[in-house]
Amino acid sequence: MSQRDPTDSEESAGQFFFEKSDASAVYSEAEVVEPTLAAETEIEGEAAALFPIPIVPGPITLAKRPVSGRYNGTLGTFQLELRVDIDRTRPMNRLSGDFFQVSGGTTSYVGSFIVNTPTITVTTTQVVARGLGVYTFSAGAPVVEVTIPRRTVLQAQAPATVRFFTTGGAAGATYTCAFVSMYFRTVRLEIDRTSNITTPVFNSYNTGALPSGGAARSLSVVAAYGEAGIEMMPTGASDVVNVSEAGANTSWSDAELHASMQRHFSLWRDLPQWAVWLLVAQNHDLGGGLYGIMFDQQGKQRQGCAVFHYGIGGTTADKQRLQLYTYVHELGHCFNLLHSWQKSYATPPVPNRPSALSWMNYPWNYPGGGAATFWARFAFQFDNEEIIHLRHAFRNNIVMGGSDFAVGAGLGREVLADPVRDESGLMFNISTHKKSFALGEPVVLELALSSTQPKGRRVHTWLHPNCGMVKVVIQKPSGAVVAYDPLIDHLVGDRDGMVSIGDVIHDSAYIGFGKGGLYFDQPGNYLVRAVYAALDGSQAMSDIIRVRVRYPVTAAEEELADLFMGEDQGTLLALLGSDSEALDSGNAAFDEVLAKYPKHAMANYVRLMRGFNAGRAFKTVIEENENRLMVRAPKLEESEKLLAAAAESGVLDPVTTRQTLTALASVQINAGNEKAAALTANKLTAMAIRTV
Amino acid sequence: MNLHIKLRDGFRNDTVTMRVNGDEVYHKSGVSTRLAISYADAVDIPIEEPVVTLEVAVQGGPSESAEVRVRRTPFVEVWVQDGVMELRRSDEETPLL
Repeated sequence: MSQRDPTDSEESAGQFFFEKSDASAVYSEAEVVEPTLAAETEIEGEAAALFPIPIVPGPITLAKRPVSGRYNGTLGTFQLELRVDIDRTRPMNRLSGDFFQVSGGTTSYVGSFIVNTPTITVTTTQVVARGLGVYTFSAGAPVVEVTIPRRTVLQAQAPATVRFFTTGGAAGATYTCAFVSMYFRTVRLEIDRTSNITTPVFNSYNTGALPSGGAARSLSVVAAYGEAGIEMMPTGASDVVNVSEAGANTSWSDAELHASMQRHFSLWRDLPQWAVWLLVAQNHDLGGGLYGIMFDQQGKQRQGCAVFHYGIGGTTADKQRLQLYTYVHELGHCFNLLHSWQKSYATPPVPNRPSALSWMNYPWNYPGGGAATFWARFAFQFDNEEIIHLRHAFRNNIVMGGSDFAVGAGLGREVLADPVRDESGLMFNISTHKKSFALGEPVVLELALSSTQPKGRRVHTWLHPNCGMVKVVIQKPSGAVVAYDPLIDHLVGDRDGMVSIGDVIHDSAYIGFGKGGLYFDQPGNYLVRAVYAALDGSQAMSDIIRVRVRYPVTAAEEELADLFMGEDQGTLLALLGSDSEALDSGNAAFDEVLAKYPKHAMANYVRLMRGFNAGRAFKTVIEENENRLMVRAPKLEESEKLLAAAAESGVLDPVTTRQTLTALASVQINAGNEKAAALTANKLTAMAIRTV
Repeated sequence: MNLHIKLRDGFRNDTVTMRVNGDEVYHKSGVSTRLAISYADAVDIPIEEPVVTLEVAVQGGPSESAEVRVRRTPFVEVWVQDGVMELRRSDEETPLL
């Protein structure tokens, strides 16, 4: 979560830099190869009779390698995946890249950039592309300059040097990125089929078999994407999905398709990743007129699609062409491509292109001629704007499981993003014990840390956000994302221990109020995620949980919301009570809660807070007092009564209940009531939770 | 014979009403287009007459009516684009993908 600016040189001070080499000077000599004396001598033999005119040896110029493709580099904790698109097939004259941050065993996505109109300079020795980038985050050095030495076909691809500059020209970070692939992205593709399809799964189609608008060639799905610069790498897995999973009607609903995807897609995980599933099925519930569907529009979207052979199956040329088209089209939706005539529905919108000769159109909707004209003109390719999206879209707008379908807007720095790699060996879970909260009700997060490694993991046990080792991020109903900032930061020392497999460390934290004020101050759905900073620097991310805050329905709920939702009340809840006069208005509001709504569930939060506060001495610094200190002694009887009521209420989460019982037992011992303390201890023992 | 009507693009949590020769044959709220297949809903309506007048209306939005020769063009698609409704008649069902 402590992300910095990967374009800024300040961020990498003291960290590893690659050496900058004058590669252009090295390779400028290699582009022209002079014939050797040995070669001349050979020609003097038999060849001399065939070529009576004396051969004048001249330089042989070797072709240069194109430089477009994907590059990877590292600078300190940052990784850059760079895409250079200025030559090879259908160059779009763009640069783009994604930044990642490595922390221990976790790699997290930071953000992306694209340079839409770079100035490209090609000399005999190097290619330089430079331009102002558009970023998903506020970049300190947004100008990008990529320099790549030109190499001959006999030499390996040269690395790219990427330099970032401020708009004023000051140097920022420099990355040296090794060439990875001529493809801009690599996606793992798994194609499964259902047990009842009556025609073969599509393999390839000769585009010259029927009239078309492009060169004749054999095209598979993999080859079609390859032409767009996208490497589709088959997983090798190929399940046969029993049609019984579609129910008695043997036709598929979207829900059934989704369930089967989770069951059969060997790479399926509920997070963004470059992996996609295609199911070849016979029928969909919507009937034979549906040729295919990108059905995955719940949770992490766009990870799966299906095609239906009832409408497209067969071995004739037109059916093979239709299968190729449908397979590529549905996978296109998984890359977040909309239909050609629907581009204006994207977020943000772009112009519709109903006449596009693209995989993403409907041939039968083609203006000015319909399907016959479309096929006669179609070159079996995406249009240019789609190619740009496929190669250069911001990562979350294209990666499967990223932004929802049709949503292409960058949401800023991806504070709620999943790690792209997690080898932390830890699992960090958060939850709330209630499905929804009343407006004003304290939102308490339960935190649980466990090991995923059989040998266990050494961990620190500071799970409470107050200790600074766990960060909590909240996305409000408005979409605004805020980091929970605790009211008080605790400076903590070492508190390490082993967490064995099967062992779980728990804590709970009130996150309703902090330095940012009230965090759940309006009804609606909130998303919450927390990240645990491990000893080795790994960032163990929790799942994102949804917290729903209900609209107040009754007059009592309305009044209770008002009584709970004040700065003083939030402070009192965060501090577990206080005698401070500065918080009098909050205490007065809570007095009113207990007086008017003693039987309401929310009154128990007040009892909890008041019980904790009453059980401890409270010191007040007073100007008028000679000693400047007034000590209020613990009110043990009051505390015991309040804590017991709160613990028995069933309103608190299990961890808080345990902490309340612990405090209660302590108060009972201090009050000399050892019998009651023993009974409370028995209740604690029954709650087998390891807390910190 | 049946008149096959498909609601295609441009619906967003709309209340849609259809009438055939003045009789209400369809009324539904919460109609939304699924962009991935350009489809919101479909209805098949048994028709006796060879020619009918089909009216489609979005509550608080556009509406359109058209005469449909059911034998010749039994398939009708309803599109809303830029706030304008269009009824497209066809002799064959248009596939979706």
